[in-house]
Amino acid sequence: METKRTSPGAWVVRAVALAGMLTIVYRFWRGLGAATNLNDGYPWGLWVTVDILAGVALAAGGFVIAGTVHLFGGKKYESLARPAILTAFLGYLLFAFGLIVDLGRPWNLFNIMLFGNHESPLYEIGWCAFLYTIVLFLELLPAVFEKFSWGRVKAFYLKTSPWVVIVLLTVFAAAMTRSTAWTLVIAGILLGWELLMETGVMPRDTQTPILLIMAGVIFSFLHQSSLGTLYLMMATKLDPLWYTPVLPIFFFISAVLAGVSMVALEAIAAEKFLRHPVDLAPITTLVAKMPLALGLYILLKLEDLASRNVAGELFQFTLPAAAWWLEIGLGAILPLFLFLKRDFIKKRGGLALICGLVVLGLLINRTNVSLTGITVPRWEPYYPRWSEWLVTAGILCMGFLAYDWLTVRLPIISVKRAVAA
Amino acid sequence: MTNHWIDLQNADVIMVCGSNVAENHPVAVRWMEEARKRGAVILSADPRFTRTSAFADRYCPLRSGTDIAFVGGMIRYAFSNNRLNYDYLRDNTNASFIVKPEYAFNDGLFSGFDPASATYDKASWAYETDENGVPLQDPTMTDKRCVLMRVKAQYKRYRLKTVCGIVGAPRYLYEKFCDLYTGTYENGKAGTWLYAMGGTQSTHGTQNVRAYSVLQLLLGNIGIAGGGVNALRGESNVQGSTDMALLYNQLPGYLAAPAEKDKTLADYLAARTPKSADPKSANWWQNTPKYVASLLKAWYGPAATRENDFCYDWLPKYGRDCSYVNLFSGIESGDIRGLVLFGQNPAVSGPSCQRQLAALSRLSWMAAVDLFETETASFWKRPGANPSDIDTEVFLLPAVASVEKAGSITNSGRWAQWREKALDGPGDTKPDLWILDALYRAVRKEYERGGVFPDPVVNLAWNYDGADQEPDPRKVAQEINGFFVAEATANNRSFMAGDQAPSFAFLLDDGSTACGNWLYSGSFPGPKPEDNRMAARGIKQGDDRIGLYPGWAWCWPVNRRILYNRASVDANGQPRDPARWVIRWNAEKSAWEGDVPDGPWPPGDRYPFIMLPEGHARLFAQGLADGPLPEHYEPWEGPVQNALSSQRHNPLLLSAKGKGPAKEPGSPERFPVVATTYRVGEHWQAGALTRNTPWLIELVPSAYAEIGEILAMMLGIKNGDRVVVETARGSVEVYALVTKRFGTFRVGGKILHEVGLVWHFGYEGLARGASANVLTPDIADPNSRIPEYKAFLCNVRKAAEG
Amino acid sequence: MKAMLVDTTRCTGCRSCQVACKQWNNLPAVQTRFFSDGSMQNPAHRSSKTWAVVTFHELPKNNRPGLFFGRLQCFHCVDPACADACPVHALKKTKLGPVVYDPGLCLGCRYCQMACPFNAPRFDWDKPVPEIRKCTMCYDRVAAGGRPACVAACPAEALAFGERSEMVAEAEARIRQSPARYVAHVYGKNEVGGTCVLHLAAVPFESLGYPSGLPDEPVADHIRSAMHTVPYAMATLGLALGAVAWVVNRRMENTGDKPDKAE
Ligand SMILES: Nc1nc2c(c(=O)[nH]1)N[C@H]1C(S)=C(S)[C@@H](COP(=O)(O)OP(=O)(O)OC[C@H]3O[C@@H](n4cnc5c(=O)[nH]c(N)nc54)[C@H](O)[C@@H]3O)O[C@H]1N2
Ligand SMILES: Nc1nc2c(c(=O)[nH]1)N[C@H]1C(S)=C(S)[C@@H](COP(=O)(O)OP(=O)(O)OC[C@H]3O[C@@H](n4cnc5c(=O)[nH]c(N)nc54)[C@H](O)[C@@H]3O)O[C@H]1N2
Ligand code: SF4
Ligand code: SF4
Ligand code: SF4
Ligand code: SF4
Ligand code: SF4
Ligand SMILES: [Mo]
Repeated sequence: METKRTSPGAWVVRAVALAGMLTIVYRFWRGLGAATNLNDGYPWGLWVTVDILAGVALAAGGFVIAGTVHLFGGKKYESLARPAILTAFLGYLLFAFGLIVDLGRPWNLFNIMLFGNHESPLYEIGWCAFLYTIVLFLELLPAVFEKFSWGRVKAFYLKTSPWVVIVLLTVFAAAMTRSTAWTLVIAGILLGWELLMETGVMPRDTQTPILLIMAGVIFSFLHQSSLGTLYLMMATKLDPLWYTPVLPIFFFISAVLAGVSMVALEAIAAEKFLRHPVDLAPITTLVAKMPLALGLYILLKLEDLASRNVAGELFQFTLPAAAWWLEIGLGAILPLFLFLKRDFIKKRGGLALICGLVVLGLLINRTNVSLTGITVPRWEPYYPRWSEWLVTAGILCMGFLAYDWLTVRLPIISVKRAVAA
Repeated sequence: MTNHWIDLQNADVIMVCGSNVAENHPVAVRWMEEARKRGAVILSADPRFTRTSAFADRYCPLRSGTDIAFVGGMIRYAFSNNRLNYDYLRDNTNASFIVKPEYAFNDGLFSGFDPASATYDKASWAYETDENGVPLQDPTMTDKRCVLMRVKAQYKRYRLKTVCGIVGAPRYLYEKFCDLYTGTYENGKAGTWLYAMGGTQSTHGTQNVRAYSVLQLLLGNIGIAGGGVNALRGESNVQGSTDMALLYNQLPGYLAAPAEKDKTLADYLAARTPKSADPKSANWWQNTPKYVASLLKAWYGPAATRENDFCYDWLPKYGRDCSYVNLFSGIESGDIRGLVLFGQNPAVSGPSCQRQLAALSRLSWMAAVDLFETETASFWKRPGANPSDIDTEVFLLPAVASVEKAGSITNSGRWAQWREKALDGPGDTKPDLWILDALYRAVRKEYERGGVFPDPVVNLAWNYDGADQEPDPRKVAQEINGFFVAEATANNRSFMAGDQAPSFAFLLDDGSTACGNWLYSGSFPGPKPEDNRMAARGIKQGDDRIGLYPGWAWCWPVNRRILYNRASVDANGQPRDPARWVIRWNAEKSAWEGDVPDGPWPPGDRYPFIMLPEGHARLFAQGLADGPLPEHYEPWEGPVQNALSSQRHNPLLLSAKGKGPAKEPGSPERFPVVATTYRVGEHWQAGALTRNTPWLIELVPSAYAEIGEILAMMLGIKNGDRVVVETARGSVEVYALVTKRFGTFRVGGKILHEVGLVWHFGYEGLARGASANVLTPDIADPNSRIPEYKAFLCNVRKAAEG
Repeated sequence: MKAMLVDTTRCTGCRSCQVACKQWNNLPAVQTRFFSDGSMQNPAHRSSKTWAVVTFHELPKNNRPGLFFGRLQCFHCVDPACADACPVHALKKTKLGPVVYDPGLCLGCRYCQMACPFNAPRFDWDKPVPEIRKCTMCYDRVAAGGRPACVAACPAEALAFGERSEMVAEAEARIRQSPARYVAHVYGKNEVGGTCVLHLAAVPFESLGYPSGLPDEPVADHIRSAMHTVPYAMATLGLALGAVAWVVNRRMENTGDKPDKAE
């Protein structure tokens, strides 16, 4: 283990993280224009695409696994849950950090909470991501309690967290709708479940507060899709290959797909680079469901294009068409075929390749929506500046370092074993 | 302008030829738009498609230097399509006058040409007169020798095809222009002709303007609302400064400056006061003695008496051409040793400016009164000059800007508008009047100690001090208006010494009145600040039916807003155009209504053109040096032979040989491309004001040449490339603006190309660039002495990289 | 609601309006080199320092070379996408018509830039404390009963200002009176739900650099329907997830696989 952490690779990660942070200092000192190639034609660039759009989507594994394990009874995946939640939590922290770097006036960030415009998807995303990060934190707390054997604290946590969740979701509903009726409806539903559990009509998971997991799924569903809603504003700018009223749904589905792939990829990578043992079985079973989902996704995309009468554009010799084919070809069709080769996913390398392709597909998709597909007449195309790459890479490396640091210190990997010991 | 800016709204056809009004007089377009709302058509004739052309309804190209051919063709078109306003011509112009039988025109030369001196003896251009000296007329205007027939004969050669082959315009465009414009010959239709430097900056510039006038008279477009020959003047107050004697051969109010031959006042008055034997001619200039006496009284005060000819002897008498171009020859030759520049920047604005720059170092001193250190003020440290080789002592006196001082500005419509100071100037800056006053006092002090001929200096009547002991522009204005220096009776009214003159009709020739400029008499007819009519701002006052606005500011002469307005009425004083009448005679009240008429007489009592001894506007005129009728010649540097005669360029230019331009003209073989220079809306003149204003630099940051797409393609030049433009005088490197807006000209079977340069740039200021005047020839019009900035020859090539 | 009418057929491209805007709003000049466009346009684009640009277009007129002008600024949409996009109400539509900005609220997220169909909001890329900047329709002057600085400066009366309804009527009247002079379209009357800067032109607006193919519905309509589903989604998910969890748990309980007993 130690050998890996002193390997040249590890030093590169640290160096990149440091360089990224220094670049961020420069960005705040000289302004966004000095540190990026962003401009009035392309005000959103690499950071929004990778750190925010892709970052959030790739962290979707957290709620998918948590939901599967705790809501849908997928107990066999339990070993994946904590790493996924940790990844998601770190992912959201990094996303928040990336956002602050990208915002021109981040000191006003909390104005969203105070003076927000509830009609704006960005407002929703802000609230949602903020609250979801709290939820992830709460979901992660049991690991801390275990580490320090704080039984009493954990008991208190189990008792109170449902109420915290009810408050969070109610506040959110109020913020989102500005309507007493809706707030009461949402609060009512949640209180209803809690009451049912309190009274024992409905069984309670004594280890994990169900409402917490529910909140995670609700928040995730909302803001994952809302990232797509953002682009519904770009009606006149976004290429019809991507611009569709159901873009939020596509954002959600693709996030789930890529999130799950990310969990698998991560486990394999953690084993290879951090020497965390991995139980391949749940991963393979989980991944086995992917071809169906991918197939469905491809069909939906085509159906959508056809129904909007733009499918023809796929067969024109244009940059958007090429980008679309790259996205779907590499990120959906190719993995679909590979998945169907049963023995291919049995191998770690094969599995990693397939999941990697899905993740890549998501990256291309988000790039297409936020950059390739956006046309600004009479404007030079945007290419990220080296410093933008460095910041993104730096933030990612910070994530690696944090993940490593935490997994060593907290019972994250292979919960069963930790608990048994 | 014979008319004024607002009057443009009354036109039916607006011809912009020789001006880029939308850029250089931008506010005018709102009145043009008013006209268009009423259905008017706006025409733009210019070598290139300008922002005025964009604003206009139609555009026709003409090659630089070919205005007379362009207008001559229209004149012929009017004759051959019977589009002449005969009534108007008979009543108002000299169309019916008989010209002397000796008059002739042959192969580009008028009768009386002396090849040795390259001048005309103009005797044969005179009218035939009866025994009393009254010109003979043929009211039918059919006599072969009458002016109208002379005009017709002159332009008979200007066929559509010939003209198009000279100006290089497609025939269908040009013919449409002829049709639309000559359509204004009817009563009730008005055509206005707007021109500026595109018309004047030519070796036949005065004749260009004459050509516009001849056409306008033929169509009956002068004196009416929406008509006129309208010079869009330049510098904000150039009209005012011309009125005050900007040129060396004038005294204020367009009185002639005495020349060497005008030895005594009597000689001068005899030679300069026009006479008419015709009792119906008002011959207004017969009042010259009153204006001259009053002027001298204003200048020399009590020293000027009837007995000493009002100190006429003290006036300098010029013996040679002292015009702008020749001033520099004077500096070169060492005759002129000191130079005061009040707001002028010849290092950028003068023709062949390299030559002028070199001349400046021959001065022993120079004082520049300006807002900025201009190229001229810093000539001694210009790029390439070695300051230690230059002995000239240079003074820079900082002046305030126009809004930082009070005074009047006279616009192109002859309105003198008074403005109060809006804010203080920065630092040590002073108003020009203050500087001039201090300068005069210092000079007088020197002369009081003695010197050569101190009298005119020490005796000058000079006291403009106001309440605060600073020179007060109002006092200057009151002197210009004129006042009584002694008790007197004038025009049946009696005045006390010190009374302001009500108007020039009250000026006297006996020394009892003083007046700085008779034309401005009436502008400040009382002692109090409220009497300053230039400061009047009564928009709603008076007759604003056709936009005269007589209550707004004051206009010379005597607040007459449309000059020659007697030509707008018939013999009974009834308007030819009842809808837009300017003046009309009310027989019941026995009075004129509307604008201030040209003279108070009832209709029919006097001929309409009261400033001319014959009382009729001149289609055919003896006044100019280079011919009684405009005739087409190529520019001094013409790209082709003259298609109409064997006189290649203005024959009078031969006299320039040896004393005028420093260099021979460039040949079309070496310099095949026609070149012109002009302005852009975003910059002002030599650039000191605008090249120091970042907002304007942002819009037009650098010197450039406009090059047509075809020429650019032939030369391998792309938009934004650096190009070298070269003439016989020198070469400059500028950016190339490759544009569709500069077409080609099909001239005499050849395709000619033209390029245009903005001349606003120089080596000082925040934005710098090459001065176009490095290229221009220092050859001038024989009448006005204006340099030919608008048409010369050049060569263009792509600049070497790096 | 006030509006500006830009009659590009009257415009002479003098750019007094462009300079007046900088003067009134204290905006610095930007560095340019030569011209930014085929003809004489400068600068090439609007920016945080240039809120309005007069655009130059060399296009044929009567089958001969010609020159046309356009004018780009904030269009002050009746239902502005930028204001809907802004998560903090830093951009707001005022009753008078102008869409105004409050830097005290702004996050600098630049979503308004992405959302605006006219690319009007511009950002201070060169400042560590940046702002979104764009034409304000001279709200300060308009609120005081005046007209925008650019309108006051225009020598050609190509710019007019008044009640929006009157400006629309005026624009339509001009088209009616001179049908040969105008393309029969008041740009901004209906585009994206209508704008408070209306345009007339002699040639298709697209050729003058105006965004083309804009829908008549406000851009924000596209997100409104999506945003309105939020509470429904929450309620549905809340009910469905609970129910699923209940059913699943009950089933596991029945099979004896009680989660509690995992320990
Ligand atoms: N913005 C701005 N306004 C100004 C000035 C300025 O510097 N900047 N200067 C002021 C002054 S002092 C003056 S005198 C006026 C001058 O006003 P204008 O005379 O309008 O100025 P120019 O741009 O020199 O020339 C006008 C047009 O003449 C065209 N032209 C060139 N050759 C010929 C020709 O042979 N015949 C005809 N018909 N046209 C030709 C040119 O292409 C040009 O478009 O402007 C005044 N107004
Ligand atoms: N090639 C070419 N050359 C041309 C022309 C052309 O068309 N082509 N046009 C010609 C024409 S029409 C003209 S009028 C001349 C103009 O030529 P100039 O008169 O030499 O040029 P300007 O730049 O107008 O000079 C005016 C100076 O006055 C200063 N100034 C401004 N206000 C004041 C004030 O209140 N007091 C004082 N004391 N100074 C002040 C300004 O800073 C500026 O330096 O150029 C001529 N030159
Ligand atoms: S005189 Fe002044 S207001 Fe009139 S056009 Fe010239 S610069 Fe503009
Ligand atoms: S043009 Fe753009 S910035 Fe202006 S109001 Fe409309 S959406 Fe907002
Ligand atoms: S950049 Fe500022 S004004 Fe624009 S959407 Fe974001 S918070 Fe609103
Ligand atoms: S309305 Fe005001 S802010 Fe907008 S372009 Fe005009 S001057 Fe500039
Ligand atoms: S000020 Fe008026 S005429 Fe000049 S560019 Fe602006 S809109 Fe056009
Ligand atoms: Mo001039």
